[in-house]
Amino acid sequence: MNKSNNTSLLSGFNAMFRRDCLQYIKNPSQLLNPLIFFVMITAAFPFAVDSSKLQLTQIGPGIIWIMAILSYLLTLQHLYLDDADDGCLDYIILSPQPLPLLVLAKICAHWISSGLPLIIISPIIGIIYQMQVDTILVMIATLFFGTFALSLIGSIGASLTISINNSNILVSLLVLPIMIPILIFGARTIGLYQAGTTTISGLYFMSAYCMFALSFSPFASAAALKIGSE
Amino acid sequence: MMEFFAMDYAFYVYSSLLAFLSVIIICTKDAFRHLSKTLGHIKNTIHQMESDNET
Amino acid sequence: MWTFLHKMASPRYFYSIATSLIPWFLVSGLILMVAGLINGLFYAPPDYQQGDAFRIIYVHVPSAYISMMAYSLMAFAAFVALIWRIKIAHAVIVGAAPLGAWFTFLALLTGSIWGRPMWGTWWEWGDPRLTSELLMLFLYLGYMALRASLPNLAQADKLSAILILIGAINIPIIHFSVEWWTSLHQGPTLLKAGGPAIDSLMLYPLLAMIIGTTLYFGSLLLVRTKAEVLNREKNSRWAKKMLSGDQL
Repeated sequence: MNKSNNTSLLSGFNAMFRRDCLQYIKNPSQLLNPLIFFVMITAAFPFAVDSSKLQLTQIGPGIIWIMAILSYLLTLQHLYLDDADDGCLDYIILSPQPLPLLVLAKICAHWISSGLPLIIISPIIGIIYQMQVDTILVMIATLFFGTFALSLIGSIGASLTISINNSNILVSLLVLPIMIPILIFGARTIGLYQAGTTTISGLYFMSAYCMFALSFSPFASAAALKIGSE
Repeated sequence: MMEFFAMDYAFYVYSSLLAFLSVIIICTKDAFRHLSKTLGHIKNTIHQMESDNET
Repeated sequence: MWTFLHKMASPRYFYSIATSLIPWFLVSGLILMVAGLINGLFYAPPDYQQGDAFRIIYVHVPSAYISMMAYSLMAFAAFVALIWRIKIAHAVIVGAAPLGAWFTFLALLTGSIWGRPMWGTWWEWGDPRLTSELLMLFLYLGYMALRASLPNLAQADKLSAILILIGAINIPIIHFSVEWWTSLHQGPTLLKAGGPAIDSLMLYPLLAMIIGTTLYFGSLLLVRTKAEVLNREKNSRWAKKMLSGDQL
């Protein structure tokens, strides 16, 4: 390819990635709200249940994972709807760069701006749930794979519903069945680590799930975007 | 005949049988009702259009 | 055979072929189901381990089989519809979804009823097969929810077909879950190497039930697909001619 024209795949990816990151930075409240939701709800749980130390360490991983998924699902609407609303999505679909690549760039930007803050906040929640430092590290590792997988699978749900208004619940309904294996393995891995057994198999499974989602999600999302914007 | 109802776990066996039969019946009635409703609806539309044409 | 398949892709031929096939499937399915149920409930010998409770198998296994078969059918139809753009395949998916959902619910319900005396619990959350079958129900419901919320028919068709294909990964997960993970649910009895591991007096009513329920499901599927085809083709000449001639 002619380098001076800057039409290589990597430059397309970079341009889309940088554009989306800048958009998220310019509108921080969009992403802060789900994060605050996550913190508040997980902090509210110990008020509602018996908050003895044993109980909290037992239910902690599950609650953190469920709330992480739910609050992450709230951020998914910004993936395509903002662009669909002001018409940019049509230009993105029509661009000469392959659409799956651009979709992947959007997913990565979304993960960096929504997933990483979630992962960074999670140790604080872990301390609320009386987790030890090494358990918190395991939790961060599982959330790392989990949020990325959720970005990938969630983009499929979001792309299927761009022509529907108020599609938040529907996206969650479509995405949750596919996310349940990651939820199971993520929460159980932390629980197993707390109980002392090895956790590397759980992390292997989650990374494999991420790779699997990575292999088909951009293509499925691209196909759904093209169909949905006709 | 009563000995059939006195088998072990009769409650479980017969309740699952009941569930199966009721789902089958619900599905059948629903499917045929859906078909006749569709047919009726379309026939009404066609008759409506024909009578509109005639008037 | 290829001519037959080509013909089936045309809504008009499909409609007439379906109309003639439905009574055959319905009656043969009903006969086989009645025969299988009576034999299985009253004439099959009681299991040495489970006693008479094993008779739930004659209801549970056909439902579970149909739930997976219906989804595989929908996935195959979605593939055909997206790749070869055969529009009638979308009507088949629409027709199969509610039936598949009902049978999945039935499989979960009868399985739960069976689990109570056998495993001591109505439900077991860590069990991979129970969880993946529940996921299957959610996939059916998600499909129907997506269809209901998209007003444009062509868009709804294609997008929901994509959704079905993505969820198709669940089918091998359900089937192999008892082999890959430790599960309360027993392993495969019929489809395993070395032939079925079940006594033939118990086996034949089970096969009759499976085949009978499949035929019955096929007849209901044809009925629902007929309705859906009619809905889509109501403006075409063959439909108008047929309907003003007042046929069912």
